[in-house]
Amino acid sequence: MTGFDLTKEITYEDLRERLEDLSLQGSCCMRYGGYQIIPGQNETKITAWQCNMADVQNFDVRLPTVISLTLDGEDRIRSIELKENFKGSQGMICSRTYLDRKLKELYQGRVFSSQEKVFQDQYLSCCRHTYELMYGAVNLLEHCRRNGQDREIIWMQEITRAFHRDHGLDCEDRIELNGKMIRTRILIENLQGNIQYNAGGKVVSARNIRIQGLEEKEGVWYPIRDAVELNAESYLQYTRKLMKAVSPFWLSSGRRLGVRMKFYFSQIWGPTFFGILSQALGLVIFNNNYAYFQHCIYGMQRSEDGKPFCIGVSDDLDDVMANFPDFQLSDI
Amino acid sequence: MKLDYDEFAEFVCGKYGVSVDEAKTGCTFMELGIDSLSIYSMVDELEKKYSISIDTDDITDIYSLPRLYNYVQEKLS
Repeated sequence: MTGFDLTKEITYEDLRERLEDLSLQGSCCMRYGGYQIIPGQNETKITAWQCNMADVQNFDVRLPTVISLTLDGEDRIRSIELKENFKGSQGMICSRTYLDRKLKELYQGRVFSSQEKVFQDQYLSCCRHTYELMYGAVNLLEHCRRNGQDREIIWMQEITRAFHRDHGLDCEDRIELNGKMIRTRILIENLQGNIQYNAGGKVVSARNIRIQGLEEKEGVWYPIRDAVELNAESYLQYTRKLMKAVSPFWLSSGRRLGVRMKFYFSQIWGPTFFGILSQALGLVIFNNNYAYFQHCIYGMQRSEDGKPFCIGVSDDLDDVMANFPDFQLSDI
Repeated sequence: MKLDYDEFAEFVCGKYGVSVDEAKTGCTFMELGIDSLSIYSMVDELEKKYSISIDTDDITDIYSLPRLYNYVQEKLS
């Protein structure tokens, strides 16, 4: 799918090079993510990654996040590391040193289980990327164990690309799990003039946005269900309606892949896809303008009352210290 | 139409891979290890299975198995 062979153990150097070689291939933004799990009797090695790319004013921005961890024979996390190629998507406060320390504090010594609160709470790690990777990895391993697929190398990779078309956005998702590959498309149309953002970067109004999902069978695209029209008059309504609209596409993807529950390692799982889509919408609506694009990310990562969900969107050091009191200046 | 609670519980819990007994105690989905946003995936399955329409504004109120059961039961009657 991406020319990356995951059937053999990969090294971090291989992965770093692979992520450096990625290109947008005509899309306005994309995410390449994946997992490799090498089970063993006394040690299980896990590598989880995602790399976000966006075309901002003809400059390709690339933001890799790679986590490696090992589990002992009783599934306790023996070691965990956020790799050095993490650049932070939001400037110097989005610090690899801090987020690596958070991961170690939260996860080291814990049982690698989706029942553990540290995997479920999306805010504890102070970073959306590390949360998604940890939650995805634990659910992938549990899925493979339920299905007796945990004796050999477990691997998964997925590319989600958003293309700017005349009618709106065409998002194509290719996912490959242990050698089985499937494709899904999500069309978001009728955008121009129909989405309004507030000063905080949140979508506050959407009118007549057409959403259609397609699944591929033997090279032909078929609608997953009838297109829906999204109308919303607040950010809350917008997010809820969008989640509901895209969930059937995610479920269809899981069914075709043979994953019938807890398919949280998918990039088109509503909360994850919402992030990718918000970036794509920001790029399309604001003509790839970097400042506006960042503003949309800022809006997405803050609560209604302005509290930052991730450390990167903090306004300044005072904001950091108020919301992330364990941050230290030496983390920068 | 009267919904069979046990059958309903089996359906919901089977989808999420959680214990029926635990879910029946009224624990929230979050307490059962289900992400709060994952209820959106269940909405689609329930709408299809029971031919009902679930309003997105109601989703935050149906945060446990008994509440979800009552909600669907009400829609059916």
